[in-house]
Amino acid sequence: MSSPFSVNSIAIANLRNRRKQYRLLITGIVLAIYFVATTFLFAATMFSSLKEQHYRFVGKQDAIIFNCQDAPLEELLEKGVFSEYGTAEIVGYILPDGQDIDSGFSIAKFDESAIKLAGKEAVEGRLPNKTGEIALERSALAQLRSGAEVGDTITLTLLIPDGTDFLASPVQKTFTLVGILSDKLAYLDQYGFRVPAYHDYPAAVLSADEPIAPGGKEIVNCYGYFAGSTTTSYEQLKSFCEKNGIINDYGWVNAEITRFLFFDSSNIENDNIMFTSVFFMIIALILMCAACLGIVNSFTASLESRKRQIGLLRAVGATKKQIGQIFGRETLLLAVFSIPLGLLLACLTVWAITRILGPDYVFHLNPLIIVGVAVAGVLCVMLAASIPLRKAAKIPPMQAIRDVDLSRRMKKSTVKSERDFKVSRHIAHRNLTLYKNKQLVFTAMLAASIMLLSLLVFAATPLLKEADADYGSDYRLFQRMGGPRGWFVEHEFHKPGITEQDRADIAALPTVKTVIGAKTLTVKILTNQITPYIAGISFNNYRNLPLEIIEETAPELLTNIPELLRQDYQRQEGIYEQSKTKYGYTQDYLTVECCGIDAELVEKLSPFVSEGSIDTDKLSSGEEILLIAPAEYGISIHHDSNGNIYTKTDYVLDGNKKYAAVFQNDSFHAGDALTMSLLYSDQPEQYDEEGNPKLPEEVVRIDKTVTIGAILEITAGEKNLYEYFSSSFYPQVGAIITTTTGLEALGFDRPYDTLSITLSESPDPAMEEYLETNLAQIAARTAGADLISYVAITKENKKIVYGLLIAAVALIILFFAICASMVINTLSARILASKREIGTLRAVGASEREILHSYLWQLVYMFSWGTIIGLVAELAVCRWLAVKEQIQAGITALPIWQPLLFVTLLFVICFLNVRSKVGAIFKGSIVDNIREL
Amino acid sequence: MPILHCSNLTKTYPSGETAVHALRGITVSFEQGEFCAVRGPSGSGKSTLLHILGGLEYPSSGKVYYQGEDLFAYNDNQLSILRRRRFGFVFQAYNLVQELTAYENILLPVMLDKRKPDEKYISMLIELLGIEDRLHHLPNALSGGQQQRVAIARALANRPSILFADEPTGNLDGKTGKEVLSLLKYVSKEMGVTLILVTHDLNIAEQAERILTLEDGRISYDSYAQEV
Repeated sequence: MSSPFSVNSIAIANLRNRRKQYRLLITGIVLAIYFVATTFLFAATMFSSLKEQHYRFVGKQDAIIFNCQDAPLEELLEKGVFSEYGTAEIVGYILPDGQDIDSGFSIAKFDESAIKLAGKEAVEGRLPNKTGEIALERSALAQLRSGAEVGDTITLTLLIPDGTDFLASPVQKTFTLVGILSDKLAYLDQYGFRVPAYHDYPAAVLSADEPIAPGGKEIVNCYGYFAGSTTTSYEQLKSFCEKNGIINDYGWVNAEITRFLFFDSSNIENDNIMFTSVFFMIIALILMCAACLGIVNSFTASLESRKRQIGLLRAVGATKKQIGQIFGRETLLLAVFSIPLGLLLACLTVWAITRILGPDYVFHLNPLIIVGVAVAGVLCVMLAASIPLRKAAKIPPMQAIRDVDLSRRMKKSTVKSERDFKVSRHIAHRNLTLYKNKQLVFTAMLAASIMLLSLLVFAATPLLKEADADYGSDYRLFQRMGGPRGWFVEHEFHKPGITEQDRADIAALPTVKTVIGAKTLTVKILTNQITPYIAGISFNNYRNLPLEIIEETAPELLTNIPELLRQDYQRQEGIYEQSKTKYGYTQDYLTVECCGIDAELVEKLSPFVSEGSIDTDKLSSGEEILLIAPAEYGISIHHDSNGNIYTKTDYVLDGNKKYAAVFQNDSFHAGDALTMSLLYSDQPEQYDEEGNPKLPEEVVRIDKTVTIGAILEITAGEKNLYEYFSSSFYPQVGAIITTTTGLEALGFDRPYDTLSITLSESPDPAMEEYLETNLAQIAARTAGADLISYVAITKENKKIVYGLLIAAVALIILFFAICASMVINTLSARILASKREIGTLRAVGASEREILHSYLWQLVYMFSWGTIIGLVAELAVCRWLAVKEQIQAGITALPIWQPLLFVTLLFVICFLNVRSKVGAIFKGSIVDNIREL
Repeated sequence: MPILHCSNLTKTYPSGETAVHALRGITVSFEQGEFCAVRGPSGSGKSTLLHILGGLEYPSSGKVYYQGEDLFAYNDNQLSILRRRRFGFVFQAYNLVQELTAYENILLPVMLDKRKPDEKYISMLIELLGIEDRLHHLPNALSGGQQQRVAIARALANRPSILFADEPTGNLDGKTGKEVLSLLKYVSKEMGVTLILVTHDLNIAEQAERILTLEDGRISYDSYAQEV
């Protein structure tokens, strides 16, 4: 009985007969499927992790409708807007002592669905189940500064809503704290513009039967889960709100969409998950490209060696399509058989990596993902195989049988006979003449690879240095500035800020070594004479002196400044004079920053002293201050690419630089008396229509005359004064430094705006989490306070830098693989095609060494141009980057040995491969070599 | 002493589960300057004999002596040197190196031996073979006859002692074949080179001084020794 003869049977027979030759191809296919699957599984993991994180941060609801107590909410279910909803009834608004009204939070009774949708889960204790009980979000509890724990009683001052506003008198109410909830308010705040109670996300849960204070009326928030797509459901929700008058004071629909949207979730802290996932996806994609390249190469080599078979099939009547089908079916069968292994490996890899990355990463597998990944893997393999397949199917039958391509190429080439030649070198040279195109492509590829490698090496060194950057502390707690400081009147002086208690609490945390505080405010230096040195300070930093004063004292600064800057000055001119009159200043003044820091930090500034000495006792008693006044400074004026003007101040003058003006300190000396004036107002800062500050009516002026204890330079050798201060104080010419006690003695005391925290040891992950939670809670006590974790930033920087480096290395490996496969394929194909010639050379007396040398020379020729061009180009580009200061050239040397190592390794690998191929031919007899195919 | 002598040569090729016996105990000697034609039907082992005698292939058993020296006692490198200095080969399919011009192909054995070519001798060969005007062409641009002339020139470039020719006229038309054969005979006689020529063509074989006939891997006829 004859077996059925089909494309499949030919493909299967081919697979059986060529099992050994297909080992490389099968490896490539498994790897390609593995990497494709890994890419897709990471994408799926990223999606599910981001979704989970979104739910954890803001809750599962898709939308929140505010102030909807009068609306027929059940209609939302009937009309298919929501598939589920719940309500929260706000019964009060808590305003923590001394805080702005915007900084409080509301408390509400949630029904069961709302609890579930809003994700109000107790992380400690439980949810309230009877009157008088309350559960608070962690940051809300911190804001109260009560130090209450679960089980304690807390008394809250509540503003009671009455339906349109709050009742006139706040009400005091006592609750038992039964639970602490995970934070949602802080994340939800990023969605909408909050108005107390009437457009607020409650941060506390009361029991369902908690009554509202007499005279009050609950405000209802609705938490809903969309039944359909975001766009459709939101449009329906909008219509519903408009129909029922649920709109806010601005006429907008009083609802927020909080649904998880992949492309619109950048406001949530998901960068880490995205970065890590995308990073792994890129790596997998790069490796997939390498695997596909492997498929292309091994399949090309396989088809090359079967050219004659293809030619014969074509000669006996097989169409191009049939050729494609026969060989394509082989790859398809291999791909299908490779799926289970590739998928299994990918699942294990992604599972293991997500386990290592931590609980933020959620790896879910479902049948749809598996099918999708399998299909994508097969498609990728088929796509890679289609390149050589299309090429093979196009070969005319006679070309396949007789390789007329070579004859044609030879006929086209013009060669000149040599009368004396070294056989190996001459044959190599002639080969390269005949195969010029391949040589050109490889030269370009090698040069590009050298360029890429060198640029990566050149850029990596400064990056690595940056990853190890010293931020001066491990954590920084700081209060955000409301806006630019008023240079005429200090408005922040009495604003609530970080307290001594906060500082003490931080100092008591485990592993905390030092907590250094800084308090910053603006003061005026009163003077009878504006010197050019002082005019320069005003021009460069503070810009509150009138233009005419600067023109009189330092006209060189204004010779080339554009009209806009002039206008900017002129706008403030009037205000300066007005302020003098209004607040009774008979002298001129220069507004500067004054910073109070801890005495131990002040002592560290002694290397910067150019005159006088630092006496912390005198500073702390308010007798003396330190003044930043370098012996000289130069101002240069620059224009950016948009034509804007900006100035730069150098404290160490550069002889090659052109300065608009250079000033010598003739104004401030140690031992001089200095009158400082603090002019503050508790009224909010106001501006006129042109954006100029309005001078407040109610101000307090405190004048103090002190002695300049020491004059400080900004630089001292390699050290810079900036390194000792946080971002809230920028040490500039004219700025005043004293101790925090000194500020108090002067009557300038105010809350801290920065606490810099240093740890005694690098924290382990558990300690880091503990510290961050506690520090975040302390930060939450103050409105506008924020926490920066340099521990996390350093870790993140390292992760990013090392991630980038790994990606770069993967890219280099890919380029290496491409270059290697180009050379190996070219030479392997040439060696196989020249089998008969090798036999002939052997017959006429060439040894293996001579033939090997011929290929070694071909390698040398192939590599030389690419290496020379690549090296010259990379050195030129790297030098240019260094000159243009795009990369800090001081840190890294121009890359030379690295590209040479790359080329050498590539050369050695290619040579070893060539040697093994020639060796294989030499294993056969000369007769085997020269016998007609 | 014969220039080339082989004793009891056998060659067996594996072919699946069976074995093909190409040569079955051949013993024969060749003298300096003789022209011997080896003939026989296809598959009789004549090409195999030529390849083994020329050191292109190893026998399964038996010895080959060149000027009394065992050929296969040499290592691969020594054998290569011997081939390029003392032997010349002419193949049916010409076997020229495609990347080298006709002239460079002729010089190949000399260059492999890292010697200066004897310009006068090479010019004489080129003139003798009538290929002066095609010297600087690549083999692909030459006709079959021209390629075979270049192959003969290459085989003689190093003044070999023995010239092995494997069906040198097999790919050529009758007229060109005759010309090539005359050339081979002429150079062998003029230069005192031993010519061992494999052919299945009786007309060609009859032009040789000595005819060896192979049948089924054995010498069935040696004109010097009459019927074996």
